[in-house]
Amino acid sequence: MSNHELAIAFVPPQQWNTVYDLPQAFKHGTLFPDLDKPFYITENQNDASEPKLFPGSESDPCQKMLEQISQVSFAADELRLYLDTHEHDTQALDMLRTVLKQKKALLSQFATEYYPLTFASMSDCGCEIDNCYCWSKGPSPWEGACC
Amino acid sequence: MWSYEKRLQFPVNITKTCPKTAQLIISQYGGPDGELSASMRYLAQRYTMPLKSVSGLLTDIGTEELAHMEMICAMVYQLTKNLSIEEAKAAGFDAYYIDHTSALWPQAAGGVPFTAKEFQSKGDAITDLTENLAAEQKARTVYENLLRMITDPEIREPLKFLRSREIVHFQRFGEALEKTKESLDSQNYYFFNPEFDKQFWNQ
Repeated sequence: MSNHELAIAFVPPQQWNTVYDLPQAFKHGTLFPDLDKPFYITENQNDASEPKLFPGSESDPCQKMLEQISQVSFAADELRLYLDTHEHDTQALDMLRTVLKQKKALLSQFATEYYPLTFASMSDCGCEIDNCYCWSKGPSPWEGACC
Repeated sequence: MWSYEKRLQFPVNITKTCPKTAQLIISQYGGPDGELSASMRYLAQRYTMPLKSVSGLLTDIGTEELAHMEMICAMVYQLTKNLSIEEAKAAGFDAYYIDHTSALWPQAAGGVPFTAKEFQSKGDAITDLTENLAAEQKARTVYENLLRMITDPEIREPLKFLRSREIVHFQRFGEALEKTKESLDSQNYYFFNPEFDKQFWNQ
């Protein structure tokens, strides 16, 4: 162990422990309860005042799917960074494979039903039938969540 | 190379125009501890990093920072897209308006333009990873300062998310530093520079 040397920084490596479910992980900005360290000012608010992250996702299936894509993608992003420094962690690898499969299926379904979020999923958007360039479909991401 | 996903990493839905808040948040676009600076720092440092796993981490965090830059720009854009001249004047946003109208341009909250002087790519793995640990802490502080100032929950949710990411990235850079240390002699980590003195580097 290299944690007792003078004149250099030391951060203990994270151990795999419990993880949040995907909606909680997304809301907290981390998959790992061990790394969830809120700021006290953010804790003063009660849950009732928190806005819906995906307004209308209860009734709008497009918003609902965008929410699911955001959640599985975030889990994949988080697991990628974890695995970059824990490449032999089989639990993380198993979870990554699961969320990547979910993401792939959701991206394909979203392209078929609405518009492609990635250029690669253009092949799922049915543009051969419509003869359209569907990459330009859908709102710009910075316009706010809408379908 | 990169490929684009046509969505934000975390949603931004701001319904009220507020140029004053935009002028504060823009610092996380072009300011000293902003997301542009973060992505350029990590994506610049990775080429000469001696451990391939650490280069990989720099690529992946640098890429995530690009997505954070997009979120910050979306926030500034939504806060100013319906801006009136009167609102710009009242909020002190008029100077920015003169040069950029309501377009995005990377600057700090105080108006200082983005500059590469805000980050370092020093060519020494321990030095650069220590810089990155500090950079994540500085960005966390800026998000906390923004959260003290800003009360609108629509704006606070993405800021809270971005602040959480700084803590996770700090942990990952700490782990990358440990990996780098394990590949060096713990009696003296500073005997040579693993990015330059390749005759001593046996990986």
